[in-house]
Amino acid sequence: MNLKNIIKINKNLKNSLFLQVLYVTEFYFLWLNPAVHDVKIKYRKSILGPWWNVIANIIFVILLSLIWGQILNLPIRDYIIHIYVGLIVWAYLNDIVISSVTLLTGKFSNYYKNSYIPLLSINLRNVLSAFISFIHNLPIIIIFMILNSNEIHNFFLFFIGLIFLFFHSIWLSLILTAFGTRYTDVRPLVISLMSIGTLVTPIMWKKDMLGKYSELVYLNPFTHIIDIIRDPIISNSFNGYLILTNFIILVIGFLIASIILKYKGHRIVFWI
Amino acid sequence: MALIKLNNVEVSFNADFSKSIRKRFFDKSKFKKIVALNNINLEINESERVGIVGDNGSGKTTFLKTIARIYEPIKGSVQVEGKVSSLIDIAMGLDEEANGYENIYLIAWQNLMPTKYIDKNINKIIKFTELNDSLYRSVKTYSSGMKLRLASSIFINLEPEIFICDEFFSVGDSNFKKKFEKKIKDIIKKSGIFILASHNINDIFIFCNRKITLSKGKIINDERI
Repeated sequence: MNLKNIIKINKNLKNSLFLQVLYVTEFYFLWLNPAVHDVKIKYRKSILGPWWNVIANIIFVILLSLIWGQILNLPIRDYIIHIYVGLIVWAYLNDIVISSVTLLTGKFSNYYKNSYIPLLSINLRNVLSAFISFIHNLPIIIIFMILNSNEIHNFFLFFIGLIFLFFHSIWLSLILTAFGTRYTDVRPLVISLMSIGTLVTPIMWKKDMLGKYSELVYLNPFTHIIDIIRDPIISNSFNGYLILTNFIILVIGFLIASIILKYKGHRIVFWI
Repeated sequence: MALIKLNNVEVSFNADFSKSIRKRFFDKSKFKKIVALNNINLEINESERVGIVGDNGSGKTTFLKTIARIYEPIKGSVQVEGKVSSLIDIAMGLDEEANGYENIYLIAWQNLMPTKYIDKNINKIIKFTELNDSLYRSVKTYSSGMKLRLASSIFINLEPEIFICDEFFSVGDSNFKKKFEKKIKDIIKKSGIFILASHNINDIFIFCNRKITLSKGKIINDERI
């Protein structure tokens, strides 16, 4: 598709997620290059850059595992992997959620108010820069998988989990950007919900600990998102159920984002 | 070929817009509508340099944003053919933490220019800015005049077919204005369209060959100059 055709279809660009997907695919450098630029600028004056987060996570998880593993009488090695993966995925999702609600009222306010660009491009830029920081944890996870004697198909399943995580962040970011721009109260509300989410999502505890109520954790969509990453690292069995539930969450998420854009996409610029 | 066509365009805002959930769902008082552009019918063809004048609040910026497709009209239709480059706010898209050189790439990407194109034209843009060594300093240390030089040098060198500017010439010095004027003429020679909104009538006479006067969101005068 050339530029002229893109301009022609631009008529409903702000109201159509599908057209926005075509647009950001054609003009990938509109979000991909700026996302890499954002990461470089963010860590420019830092010696270790995003590796600081990795080091902080390792120290935090080791200390937490030693204390809680002892209290709960759990095997330390399993517990370290459980907490580390849960924590980094949660921290990433938390970053996406909090940054998305203020995306258009903060950093990108002037840019969005004065440029003809699809909302999706800004969300992709935000999500990708957070994702680049997140994947700095990859070497630690690979070490865990090697230590855990994971089979090769687990590496493949883990990779699928990463893809799901990336796409979940996009719909989440789109929806929260729209609501966060429209209503001032959304930001404090979301921050409170994420604090509660830290406790009710199996990050530091295991769902088996809930006994007969263990299945209730699956009412929380974040459990599915974290587990699709964590399961292939911890267990050697294939869990098709998680792929199915993640796929359903993904479809519902994009459907909601698409409905919001269809009816309110062209008004978002007036809300800033 | 560049073309802009507006038919019965109306753009309006909610005067009592509130971001409060309580006001949105529980306050039943009627919203007051402000019509920023009212029944605009207009055609701008290739090689035209249009100056938009009017008092504060007459709808100049809304008019530019509607042509740039940033605002969607609630009534009527807007037809824009050609690659639009809009310099409505000099700070738009500039990353204050990055240096001038990095910002050239950033703004060009944001205006749909691939890296290959920027690599090919970067020296031309650098020369146009006349920022020399300052280009490698963080943009947050720039004066507003330097930011203007940087932003406008990038936009003007992106080879737009339709170039839209909001009143920003007040911070530019006379040498830069002359250089800018020459570049605008080059764009027009290539069958482009230039639109400038300004309070400064001298700028309109220097840069434009058509003057449109807006008042309360309506076109009250449209003349060749």
